[in-house]
Amino acid sequence: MFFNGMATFNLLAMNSLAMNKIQSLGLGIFLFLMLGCQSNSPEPPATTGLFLQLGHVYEMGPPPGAAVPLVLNQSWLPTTLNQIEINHCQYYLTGFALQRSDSSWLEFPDAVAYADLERQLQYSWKISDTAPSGTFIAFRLAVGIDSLRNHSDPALWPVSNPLSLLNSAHMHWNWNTGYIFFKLEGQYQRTDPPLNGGFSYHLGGDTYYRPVTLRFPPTTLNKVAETMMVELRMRQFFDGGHTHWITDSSSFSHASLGDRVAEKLASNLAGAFAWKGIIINNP
Amino acid sequence: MVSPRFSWMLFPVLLLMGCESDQPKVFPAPTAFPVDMPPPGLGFPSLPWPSDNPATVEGVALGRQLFYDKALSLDRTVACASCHLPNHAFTDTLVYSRGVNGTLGTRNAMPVFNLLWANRLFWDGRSPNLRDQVVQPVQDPLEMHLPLEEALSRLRGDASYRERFGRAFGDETVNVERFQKALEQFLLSMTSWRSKFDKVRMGQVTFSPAEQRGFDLFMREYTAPGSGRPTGADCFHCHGGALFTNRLFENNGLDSVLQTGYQVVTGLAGDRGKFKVPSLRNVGLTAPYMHDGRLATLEEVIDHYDHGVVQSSTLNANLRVQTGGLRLSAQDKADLISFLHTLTDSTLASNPAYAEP
Repeated sequence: MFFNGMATFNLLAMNSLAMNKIQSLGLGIFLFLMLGCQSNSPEPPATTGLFLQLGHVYEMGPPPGAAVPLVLNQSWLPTTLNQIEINHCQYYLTGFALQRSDSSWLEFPDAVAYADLERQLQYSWKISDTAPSGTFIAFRLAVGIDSLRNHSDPALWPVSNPLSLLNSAHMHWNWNTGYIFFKLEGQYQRTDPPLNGGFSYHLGGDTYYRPVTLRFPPTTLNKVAETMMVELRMRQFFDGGHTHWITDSSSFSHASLGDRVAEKLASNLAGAFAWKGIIINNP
Repeated sequence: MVSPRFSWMLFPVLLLMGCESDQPKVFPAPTAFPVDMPPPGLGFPSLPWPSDNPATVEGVALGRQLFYDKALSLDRTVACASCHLPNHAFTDTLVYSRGVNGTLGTRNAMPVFNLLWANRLFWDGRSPNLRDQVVQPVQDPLEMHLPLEEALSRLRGDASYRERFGRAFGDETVNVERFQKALEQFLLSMTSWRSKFDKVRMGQVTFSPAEQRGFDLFMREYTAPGSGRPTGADCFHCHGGALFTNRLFENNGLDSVLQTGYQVVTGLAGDRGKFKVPSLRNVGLTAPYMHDGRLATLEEVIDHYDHGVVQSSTLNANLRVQTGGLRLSAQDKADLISFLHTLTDSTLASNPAYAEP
């Protein structure tokens, strides 16, 4: 199952006139459905499946500052050593799985989630058409594309797939290392000593495929619709386990082999995902 | 002279004749057109042809006729092909293209091949698709300057065009949708994938040493001085892949005072100064370069990226970090140009299917 959130984006992009028309139409449809329900139509079934809902926040700090919704092109967001403005962020998530209470994993190997924060900042991807049932204790995702798909011919993906180059030509290094897994670009400044410029961090290549396991209290799921809620705390990318100082020489990385900046930032990124909870739609 | 006594006999004859002329002419179903698609392995993304406009021999032929027809301009002096010349990969050699009465445009003509893989059209992306795009130059006062209804009226008044529309679409109706679809069919049929670069990818030939070095530079990322690793020209970030474009809109550092660019579409200040990243296929044939044709040669283009990039608020992030420029040697630049010439597909200009009918 592939889902890239474009439908949501297109709806958001509609103008107010269109929205008014849709609201009127929606009211009509609602009344029609209500009348239908009053007669003999059964209630439509709820959407089933396993979903991942992902929001993006920024911790304003200094730690332990509260996290606020991330806004692109907002000057200036604090890090420990710089102030930054984020202009672009795109990434792929794969490797989804739920861990059962007996520690075995229920894998969803086909699902690919693609986020482009210039399109939208809140995503809801369908991971599986079938919602799992049982008791689970952890959710896993991975930043990046597994090796098999990373080195497959990207030209063969249909346009409906987030891995199609027509969706994300800027996320693929042809003749190099496959897909860019995570891309963050923007500008930085620092007053002492005075520094400013741009930054461009592209993590990709099999070395930087990063599974992330998010544990939660044992929870029984019941096969209707379940939504895993996760948050990406973007400041952790710079201020996670390794504090990153952006300077001229550390302002970019394309994840070359042995690239210390990439290693540090990939490690920070893996720690930037936070568990927020599960929404269970009961039958 | 017919005697009045027998004149009543003419009525049925006239009626029959009238009926005959009112009968819509029946045309055979059009024939499927074999589009010259690149073979698998060259890396062109998988993409279906528009399902509501299948390519047909008759539709492509009509589109081709329209593309080369000067009757679609106000004074019948300018056709689409006037600014999109086969010998120059369907661009012209001018800084700004000229419309009717010699009117000077405001943009450099863009190439019109491999449009099947294009997303938005025009340098600023203001047209969301090809069907929307094809009617704009016809009406633009700086280009063909003909009201669309007048263009259609001219076509309706031409029996040979009515016949062509009939063959392509089943009856002789000439309307905007069919006009758009015919041009779309022809333009989408124009593919380019027979360059030396493609032959290298298919294992049929090899690069010369200079071309290979140029390719390596093109595909290698920029590295900061003192990193211990060789720097590259870092072209692939925007011009990578089989299409040699990332299909985005970027600010490539031409100006400090930014033109509107892609902001005209999004309304976002962050898109100011951004223009469509063109494919580099056939780039050796499409001089002059940039949206305003300001750079006359490939040498000037490489010099721009080497040491001419101007910082601004929306500058592409990969260019922004190259604070000291690319630091390319004269040999590097020459090798890059050697590689860029391997992207020339000489069959594009000589393909009779794309030539003036």
